[in-house]
Amino acid sequence: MASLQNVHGASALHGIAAASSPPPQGSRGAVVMRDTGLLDKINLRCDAGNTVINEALSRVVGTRLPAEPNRFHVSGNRRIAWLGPDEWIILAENGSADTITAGLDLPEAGHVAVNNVSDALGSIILEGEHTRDALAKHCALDFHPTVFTPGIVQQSLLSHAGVTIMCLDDNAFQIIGRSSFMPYIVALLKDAMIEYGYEFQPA
Amino acid sequence: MLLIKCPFCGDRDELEFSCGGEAHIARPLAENTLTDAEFADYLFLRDNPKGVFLERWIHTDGCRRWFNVARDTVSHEIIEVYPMGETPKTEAAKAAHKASWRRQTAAEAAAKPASPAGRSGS
Ligand SMILES: [Zn+2]
Repeated sequence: MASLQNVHGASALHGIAAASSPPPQGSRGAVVMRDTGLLDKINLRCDAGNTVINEALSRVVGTRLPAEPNRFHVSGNRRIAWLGPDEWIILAENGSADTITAGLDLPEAGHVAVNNVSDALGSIILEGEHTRDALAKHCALDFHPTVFTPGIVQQSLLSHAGVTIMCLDDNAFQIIGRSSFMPYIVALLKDAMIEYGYEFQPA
Repeated sequence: MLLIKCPFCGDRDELEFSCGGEAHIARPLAENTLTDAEFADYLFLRDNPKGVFLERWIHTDGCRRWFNVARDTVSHEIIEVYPMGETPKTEAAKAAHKASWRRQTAAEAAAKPASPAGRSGS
């Protein structure tokens, strides 16, 4: 079998050039949208109270499953986000998925499904005072700062694309979408951000 | 546009959901004992009431889970949201469940598992 050791992947937004539009008068500053590049993602399905999995996750990822709906837990640059009553996604740095999966004690964990979905999904981060305004143009979720607060994750539609949106900070959001939809999402948001000014930074 | 309360994610826009049609259609276990007409009640016939209707919905672009909704087809009011495998709790939805013509069908009677004691049991 051929070795994949020296084969390097490309971001879902590979080939989309840096771009910017200056903030017009009255804008509270340009929104910075950046491609986070390659990022490992593991889809995990099990009972929220699975003790083997929760203990393994505290050890390997550094945090347990968020049992509360629409929440994510952070540990350094790794994160576990709620996707459903028995479904989560683990986000971690590029190349870490196999180590994390191996550390989950799966033979002892009972009824569990683990899938590496790193390449199925792309990711961008938006930062800036007008981030909520721009996202609200294409999404029916309530983006009010007292509602969509840091630590909340919600799955919804960004125009026609299904996305997972995480509030990282007061004015910072991460968007996870299917790889083939990422160029569409970026084009959509660039257009939405013209009235505030924007900068798109490739990975 | 409806605001639907997903039992897992909370209030969300109708756009995120898909409707799966009439709820509480049980597959007959003893289909060999049914006539074609009786089996057609299960397979083809769907209710379309004016008033309270019990439907299955899925949160397609959210958590992707199924659940039941009792909805008034005239006012669009959502009376109740309840889990799959359960029957409704509110009076209006309970009445709609009881009044459905489907409760009287041979197909639904054949969907109930036989008692462990056999057919002679109550
Ligand atoms: Zn949901």
